[in-house]
Amino acid sequence: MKEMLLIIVSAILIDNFIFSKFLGICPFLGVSEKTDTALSMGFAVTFVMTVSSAVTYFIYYGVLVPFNLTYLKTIAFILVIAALVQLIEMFMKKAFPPLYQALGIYLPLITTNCAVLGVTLLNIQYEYNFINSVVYGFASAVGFTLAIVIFAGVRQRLQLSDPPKAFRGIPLALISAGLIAMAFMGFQGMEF
Amino acid sequence: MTKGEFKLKLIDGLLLNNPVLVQLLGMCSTLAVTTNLFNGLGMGIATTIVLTMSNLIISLIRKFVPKQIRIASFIVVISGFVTAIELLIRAYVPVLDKSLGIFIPLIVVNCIILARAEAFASKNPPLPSVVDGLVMGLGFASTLVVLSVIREIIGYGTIGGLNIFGENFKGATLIAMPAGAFITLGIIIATTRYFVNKSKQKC
Amino acid sequence: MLKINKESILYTVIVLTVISSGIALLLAIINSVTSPVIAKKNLEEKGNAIQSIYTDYISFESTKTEVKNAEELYIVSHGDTTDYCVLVSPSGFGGEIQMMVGVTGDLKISGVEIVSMSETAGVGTKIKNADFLSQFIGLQVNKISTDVDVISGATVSSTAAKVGVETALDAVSEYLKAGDNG
Repeated sequence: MKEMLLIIVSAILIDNFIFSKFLGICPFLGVSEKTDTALSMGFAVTFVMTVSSAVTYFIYYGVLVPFNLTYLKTIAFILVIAALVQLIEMFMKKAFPPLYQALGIYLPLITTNCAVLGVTLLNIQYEYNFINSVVYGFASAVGFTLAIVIFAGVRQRLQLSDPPKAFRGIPLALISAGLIAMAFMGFQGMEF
Repeated sequence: MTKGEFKLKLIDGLLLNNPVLVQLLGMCSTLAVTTNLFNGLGMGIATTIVLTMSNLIISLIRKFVPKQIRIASFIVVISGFVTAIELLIRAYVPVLDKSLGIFIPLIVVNCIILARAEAFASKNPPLPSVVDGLVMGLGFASTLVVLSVIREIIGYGTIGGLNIFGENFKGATLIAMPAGAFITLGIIIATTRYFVNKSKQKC
Repeated sequence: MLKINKESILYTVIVLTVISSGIALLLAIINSVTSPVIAKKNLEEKGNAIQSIYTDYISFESTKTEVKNAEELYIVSHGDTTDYCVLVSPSGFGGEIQMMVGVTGDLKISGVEIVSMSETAGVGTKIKNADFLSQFIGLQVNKISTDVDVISGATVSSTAAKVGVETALDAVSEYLKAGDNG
């Protein structure tokens, strides 16, 4: 139990995917102009990351390891993620139309979100068991959501400011992200 | 392709349409690995090789691949080359494998590669596609090198591990840390924009 | 001439299969070339870390260990005695610190080497200094928390190194116990 708690806290705050591991920067910059779209994106990513952590665990330890094909893991994982995103999209369209309309446009983008492939590869690297893999997938996605929502809040304010022309938009957004990352550095080296 | 065309293309890839600074693609690896010159250069070269090779193959197979499975087959080709590079780096440059870690397999989801495959290689013959891969790769690699040199100098006071300010220089470690990556890249993008806008006004 | 229908399912399946098998073949070839090189490099790296602890090292043999955060245990023959090394990975300030710890048969520390770490440059990386690491040499398990001074400003990293050394001692004593019983 203590180990699981440690995984959760460190994935959300200490090793935050955006601010310390740099995974998932594209959607972080792309869809963080409004807090509500950021939140929808966060939910979609959380869903895909949790499910793909579980599925890739079985693919890796059930298929790749027994056949000694671990070097194919990148290909296998990206295909699994792409297929999974498609499946989820089709399933949602049928089963939860309102949710699909809210998340629809973000779903295809998730395939090339490096946070998803990243978390599946990290699960293998950290040698997590099944439960811990799923917990880590879920917790780091929550960290991602937290980061993207905080950042969207900041960016909404930025639109009201009047920076030099060259800094408008992405450069200023990056610098603000740097300042938030500095705040997150305060969590590093925390002891339990 | 004439010499003039190539020159135009080079300027396009390096500056006007720089994949990182203007198109804002491949940000994850850009921010993550540019802590020192060695890592930045290594990542730049690895990505350029993958980009060129995948552009070549995708352009060769473009006429046989039906629409429905286009993206799927691109991803297979790209991740194949990424895995090949990963294995080669682990075998012959293990130091680079250690310091880049998970970001080598993550070249697969570097948007630059899929973007060039989709926008260029799938519509053009092999030779221009290879040139396009090389030029865009160079644009990516050069940005990584500039960013990593700046961060290494300010963060540690070294270039490629060589001390340039003498032993007493303490370095602003912050710039070498994640927060510094965001801030440095933001300032570089703003600077490029400033100069690109200025040169456009002249024309 | 045979006309191919590019929209048919059969055609898409064939194309995708051909592409995938082509890529798989390429990777299989590259893997068969690189995997012995990678295995050899890994072995060399471990050998170098062990050699920096036991300068007169001749050969080593690796075994698994069940102790948490200890990756592998090595039975090292050096000079004309046999001692142990343990590869441990305690968590420091910026992630795991990989260290090789030399332990003698009577459970004293014979040397500590940092293999890799991602600690803050200029602060946490000070644990790599010989002044700090040499403090461990000759200590037994109950002395580590008292007799080793942490580096000021790098408490977390130094404490992690201490934990790593204790883990290594644990691993070796477990290994010796298992040997006695069996």
